[in-house]
Amino acid sequence: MSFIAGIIAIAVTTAAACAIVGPFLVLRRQGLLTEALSHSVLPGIVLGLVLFGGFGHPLLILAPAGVALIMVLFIDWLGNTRRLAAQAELGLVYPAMFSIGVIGLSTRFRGLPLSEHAILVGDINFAALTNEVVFGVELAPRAFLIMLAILTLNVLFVSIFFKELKLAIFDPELAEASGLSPKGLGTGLLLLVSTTIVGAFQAVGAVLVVALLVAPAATAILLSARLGRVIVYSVGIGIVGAVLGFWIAYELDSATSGTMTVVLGGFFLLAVLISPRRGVVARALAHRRRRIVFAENLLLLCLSNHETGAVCEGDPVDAISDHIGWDLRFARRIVRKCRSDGFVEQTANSVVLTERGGQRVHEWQRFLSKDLPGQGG
Amino acid sequence: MELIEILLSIRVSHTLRTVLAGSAVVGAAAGMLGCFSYLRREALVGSVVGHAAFAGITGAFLIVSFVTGSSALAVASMTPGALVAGVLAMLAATAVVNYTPVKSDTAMAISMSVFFGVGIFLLRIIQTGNLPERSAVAGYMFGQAALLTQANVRVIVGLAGVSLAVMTLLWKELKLMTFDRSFGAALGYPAKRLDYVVTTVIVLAVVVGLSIVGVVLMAALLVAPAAAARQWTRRLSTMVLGAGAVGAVSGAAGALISAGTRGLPTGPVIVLVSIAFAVLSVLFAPHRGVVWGKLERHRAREHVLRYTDHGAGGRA
Repeated sequence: MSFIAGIIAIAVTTAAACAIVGPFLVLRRQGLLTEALSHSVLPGIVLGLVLFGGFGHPLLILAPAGVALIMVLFIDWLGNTRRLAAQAELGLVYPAMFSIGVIGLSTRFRGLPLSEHAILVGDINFAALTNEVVFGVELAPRAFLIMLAILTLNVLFVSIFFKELKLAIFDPELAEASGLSPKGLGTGLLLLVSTTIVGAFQAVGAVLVVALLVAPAATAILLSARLGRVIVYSVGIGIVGAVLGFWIAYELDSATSGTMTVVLGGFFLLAVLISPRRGVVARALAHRRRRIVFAENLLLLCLSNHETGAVCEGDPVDAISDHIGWDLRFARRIVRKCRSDGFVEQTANSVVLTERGGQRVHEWQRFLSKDLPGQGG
Repeated sequence: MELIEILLSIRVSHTLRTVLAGSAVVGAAAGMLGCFSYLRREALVGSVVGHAAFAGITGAFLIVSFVTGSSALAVASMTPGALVAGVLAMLAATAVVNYTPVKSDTAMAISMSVFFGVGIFLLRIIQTGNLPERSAVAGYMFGQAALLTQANVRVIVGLAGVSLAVMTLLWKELKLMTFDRSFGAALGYPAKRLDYVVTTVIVLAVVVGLSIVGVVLMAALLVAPAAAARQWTRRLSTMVLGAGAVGAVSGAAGALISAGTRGLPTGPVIVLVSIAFAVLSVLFAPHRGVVWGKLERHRAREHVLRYTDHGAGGRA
């Protein structure tokens, strides 16, 4: 595999492996736990490097993942002592683990193939430098093969336990009652997440792996409310973000993992703004639309209460704005809207309901009496 | 013997005295202001702010270097840059929570990692751009206590002083908003604006310590002293003073220990000392500690058994 192909292969498998478990973390509100986990794997990795030398040894993946999982259980225990405020147990454990790792790296074990800078951001180019040789054939970078294995593992776990995971997330009590163990599933998931983090560590580092895990998932959740689709979208967004990030970094000669993170952040921001149903713009527009429809209905109802409509000496819109308490500009806008919808007819000194307007009032009254709580029905 | 040597070197070494003063002040300020984020159940605010500040540090350095061409100005602009980025990251996370269905833990995790990613992106530009003083930027990742100058310490003391002065002036308001926000709002206090004040002051406390402890680990210095002090008292004033003391002692002890051992980085040592205080307090504090609770339960059990007819572990 060529150098560039190797980098892209590592980026895609890493992004996909992270993005497939991400939605579960986001839905279980474990974004900050993910962050704590990603920092807590460091001492395990340093220890593994000392014991086994070099990245890529299978035990080098499992040992730190195991250590991280023990940390998760410790965090759980610390939280359950109820001696600490929310989040504080995370804020104590991950800096402690990370400090131990940094101290180990900068004193006893100087000269390991891991720089202090790479702890945080990884070095995907370095990871892709040498191809693994299998039966005399230069196959692919070792980091890619490892991430491929982890990706396979994650895909298997998610597809086998999809139903169970879904139930455990959305209705833990029912899951418990139907004989599942939401806690066990959660622990299994976190073991996979730790393994994924350790596998991704060499390529993207401790901080940026959090973005790969959480950002595509959160973006996907803004786009759909169905878990299956969320996972597919999340993986798609993760892969596109990784490839686009790599390409931009290649063109600009910028930091690969940093650029990938920025691209994923950009996708998330885009979804926050223009997601079709849950985006800020869509919600603002829907709010505006509802406000106008409500004002129209209110005006029609008022007119229907005055059987002849608004007939008066001067400008009828003046009278309407007085009566309902709207400012004149808003009243004018609503009357114009009602007229263009064919609900009212306006002359020099009157605004009168049309037949269609009358029907609309009927519909609205029926809707109100049916659907509002405490109004019979 | 080693301790005596270290103590002697305090009088001799000017550098160590500088580091010691800086670390103690940073620890005290972070400890005191950390109490508020701790009690507001937002202990990881420091984590978001710390990571995000890196984007501000690199961004300010880059912009000021290119605009003014002065490396001294660029270095000086890093602290305000960190402050701006920290506040922006918090505002971004809050806005996402307020305007979308995304929950706060996700918003915080994305905010910190993406801001940090921006910092990494900019760091590469700085490093390949051959700007003078560019090594100062990378030093912020894990802190560089050894390179602290007296001018740095003066800035640290000044900023810490400002944040603590704000805390003292608004003491009553902050206390009220921390423990009963809706009551405070009902009394007519500007709840939103006070929130911004608290956030800004906490960000300031984080930013002050970045040059010593680094962006990744600064979060702990906000949480650990507060968590430790909380175990010993139920009064806010005592807690804040206690956390300040724990922070200052951790800072000083960390600086001393790392100065005494070759190659030991200062930031992680300070952080570990403060966490040790917290863990020991959670275990052993009177009335609240885990061990105290166990003893209390044991005593109560004995008491009950003595006044009932059943022997130890007996059944009715």
